Amino acid sequence: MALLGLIGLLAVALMMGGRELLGISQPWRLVEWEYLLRKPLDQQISGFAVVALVAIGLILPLVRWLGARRRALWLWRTVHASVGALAVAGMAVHTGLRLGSNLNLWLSGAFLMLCGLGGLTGVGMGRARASRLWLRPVRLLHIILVWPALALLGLHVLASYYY
Amino acid sequence: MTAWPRRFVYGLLFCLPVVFLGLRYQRGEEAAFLPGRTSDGHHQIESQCSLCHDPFGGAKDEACLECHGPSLKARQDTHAPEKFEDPARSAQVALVDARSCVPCHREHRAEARLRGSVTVPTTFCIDCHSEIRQDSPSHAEFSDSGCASAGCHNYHDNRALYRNFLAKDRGSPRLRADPRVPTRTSAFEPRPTPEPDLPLPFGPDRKSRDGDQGPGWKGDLLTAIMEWSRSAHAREGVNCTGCHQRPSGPSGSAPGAVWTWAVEDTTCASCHRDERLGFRNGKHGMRLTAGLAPMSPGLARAPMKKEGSSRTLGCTSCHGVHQFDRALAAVSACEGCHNDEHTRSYRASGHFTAWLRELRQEAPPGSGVSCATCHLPRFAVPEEHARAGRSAGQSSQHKGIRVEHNQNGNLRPNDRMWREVCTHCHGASFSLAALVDAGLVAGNFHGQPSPALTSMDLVEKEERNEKPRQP
Repeated sequence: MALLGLIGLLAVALMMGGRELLGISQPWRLVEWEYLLRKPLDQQISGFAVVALVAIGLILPLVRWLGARRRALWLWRTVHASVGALAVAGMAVHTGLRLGSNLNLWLSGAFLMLCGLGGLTGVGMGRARASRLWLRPVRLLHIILVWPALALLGLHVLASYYY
Repeated sequence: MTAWPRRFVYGLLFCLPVVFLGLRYQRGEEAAFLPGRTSDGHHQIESQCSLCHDPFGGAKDEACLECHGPSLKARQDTHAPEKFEDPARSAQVALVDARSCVPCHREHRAEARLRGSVTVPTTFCIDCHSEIRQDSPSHAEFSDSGCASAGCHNYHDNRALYRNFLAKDRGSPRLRADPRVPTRTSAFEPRPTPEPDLPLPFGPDRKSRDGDQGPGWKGDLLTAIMEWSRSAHAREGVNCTGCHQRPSGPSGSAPGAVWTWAVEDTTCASCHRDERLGFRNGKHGMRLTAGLAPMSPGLARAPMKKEGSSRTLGCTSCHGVHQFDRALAAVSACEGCHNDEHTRSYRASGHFTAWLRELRQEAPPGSGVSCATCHLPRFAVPEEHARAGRSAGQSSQHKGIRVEHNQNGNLRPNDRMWREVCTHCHGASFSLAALVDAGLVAGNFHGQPSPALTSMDLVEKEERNEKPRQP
């Protein structure tokens, strides 16, 4: 779980600073990224892939609410952490490593914070109980952020089709 | 936290962005939904999404053509969409879908935007014109991405580089024998000036009242009358009531008229229809066309002077309120707002010297070069629109010469200006070399163009390489 959490944190860091890194190390690649999977159909496919991953990620709170057993909960936590990291990768493809403007920027911010806090929670879960006092507020914040992120995601999909 | 307060907080956090953005949308503040930086051409109207976007329909070509269509038609669009409807071109359409605007000009994509707001890779010309290396040996060593980005070809208006046009002007001198642009004729569409049918609301000693005078007017009535008496309006017989009197009711509904201190631009347009139309098509007036508040320098992306950044643009912001001095409008009005290197360098240029000589009547009309000479070029109008004989000294070859008030119509790419303006005075080769020299353009042509390979050199090269035709 800690490893998945670390991968998630790394994905978030790459998403946030990827463009700058690419611009410094391989500026010619940046031009390719501008045209990579940025056609309307490609973007719809990558966008809905991210939405599907988010939906899978939401199964964990559902099975918790339904009172799943410990083993099943562990399994769904692993799935939750994996799809979280994958969703950040999907976001990188969908946006071309951009954070966007206005509504898209707010969504990117909320989503990356959500995934970052999720990654930290995953790292915390792998540590001894005594050394993870910070875990509770981080996890609470992770859960709280789900709601505005979902609202912004819905508005982003609506705005994409409306305009 | 117990379950219900917690659920309430979650619900609140979910609803907050929805309510916030919903209210913004309802108030017409749609800028919050902009997915990226809008292009320089559209940023003025970016808050009015419905101008380009249909609800759940995306951006339609019709919206693009509503503004850009007439210009494309007038410039004989080299790649008109109809050409690509031909099934024989399906292979080319698969590479670049040139049947509509959006595939090549995707808005809000600042990172991928190239010259001319193009958002496809710079190699797109070669996708279809791969034979160019064999057909034109002079182009053999050019890079695939250079066709449009090097400042040579223009996808929609390639007329400036038509080989026959260039060949015809080959060997022309740096400065022509009689370097002059056509002299404009009167800008008036004749309209009878109404006789005052109500007592004028002022006496000779009455000052204008604050709050009800025309925009920007701070002078007193005597000054206004003095300024007017020296203006073209006075010479043409357009008196106070010509502008300050309007019908008391909707057109034709009620007799009589009322005095109005504030004069709307629409009043100017009742005589200066073409000028108003051009103004509204350009960046100075496009916000008015979109139904938005007038443009002001404070809203511009180009460097502007801080003082007066809140002034609004209309007819009188450049022409003045009563003097309507064209010389003032042609230079000082521009310098009053624009603060880029090109504008600041103007007074050190040979163009300005020529302009001063024309103003001092040391040189013939049309020989001076003001900001307006290049950016608001003169154009010939058909005979039926012309006011033949109204203006003395007009060129006999033009039935009527008007001023295009769309000040950015020939700006991008600048080879439009080359064909429409520069070649009146300069040889084609010299002016083309000057326009591709970015440093020279920024310095307002103060100096000589640096030697560069121009289209003219390529024409010469091509003709040398061509085999003589068989009889």
